[in-house]
Amino acid sequence: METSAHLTSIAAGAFYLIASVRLLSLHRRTGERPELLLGIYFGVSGQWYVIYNLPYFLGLEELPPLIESGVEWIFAVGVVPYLLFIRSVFRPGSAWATALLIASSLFLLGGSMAASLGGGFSNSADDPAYLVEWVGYTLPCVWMCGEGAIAHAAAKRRARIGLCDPIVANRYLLFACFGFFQSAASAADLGWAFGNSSANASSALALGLLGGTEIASVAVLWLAFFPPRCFANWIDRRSAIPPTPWGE
Amino acid sequence: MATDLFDLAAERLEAHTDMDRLATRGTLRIALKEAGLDPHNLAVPQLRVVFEKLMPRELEARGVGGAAAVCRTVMDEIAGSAGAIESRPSTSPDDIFKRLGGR
Repeated sequence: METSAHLTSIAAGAFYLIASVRLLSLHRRTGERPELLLGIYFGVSGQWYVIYNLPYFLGLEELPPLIESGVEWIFAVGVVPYLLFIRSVFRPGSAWATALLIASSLFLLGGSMAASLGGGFSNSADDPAYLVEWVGYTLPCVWMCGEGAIAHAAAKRRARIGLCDPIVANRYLLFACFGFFQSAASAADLGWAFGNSSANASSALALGLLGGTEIASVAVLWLAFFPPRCFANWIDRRSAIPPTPWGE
Repeated sequence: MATDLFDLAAERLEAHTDMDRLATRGTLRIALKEAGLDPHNLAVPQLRVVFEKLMPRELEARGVGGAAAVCRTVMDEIAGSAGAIESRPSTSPDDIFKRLGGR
């Protein structure tokens, strides 16, 4: 069970790194900020998944503390571009979105700072630093889920009158699902942390949930970033679009 | 003086129907909501589709005669004077999400 969970995480990390390269090369072509922000986020997520799970296969008990701190800090800082992406795409100029971005960033960086100054990074619910950082990286997942769902509902209506490409409308839904699965993964991570602190039976369930949500996250992102032709055709077939003057 | 496309459309609609300001703005908001559009983040082509496909029905439901002709007139006037009005940004979420998947 544990081996397959680590393998799943490494595979997910590799996929995030591929998605990151794809987004960063898109940014080089377009010079636009959203793909840069998302590319950075997937890049740091990918490195976190790969480096964090590698010691298990190298027969090491855990990462050397210095490397672990470095990886955790890169991840904490790397979630900030994701928050910037959500805010700039869905809520530009919104005061509450800016407040949420700042609050989430403070949780992330505050938790990391507390862990660095205390006994180091842990994955235990007994450690307040872990819980603070957990809030910081769970908030953007829930936020993405909500914004994706709202945008999908409006895009579906636009698609009905030919004002939105159906596959773009579907892409909002895929990002909402990604946010949902990542929120579920965070919940599983918390379950694992409680398992670590009280040695109860919830750890196995949390591990299973973590693996499942990672596979689901990769699946929806694959459809969003690398939509196979058959999937795109299926989405198009489901939407009968009347002609519009959109291209005029 | 209209400051965005929504205001301009509501103003022109009010001028060509018997509806008052509140009713025209409300009707336009209902049509835009049905179209999944943000009233203050509009582009002329989007508004044209709304006035072609949704507004005639909304106006008829409110007893406006010759709704389709009214919509055409309003749209022609908007197209003629929309240049001075601030339009939606070129990087809408739709544009961004289209790029992300390479389509």
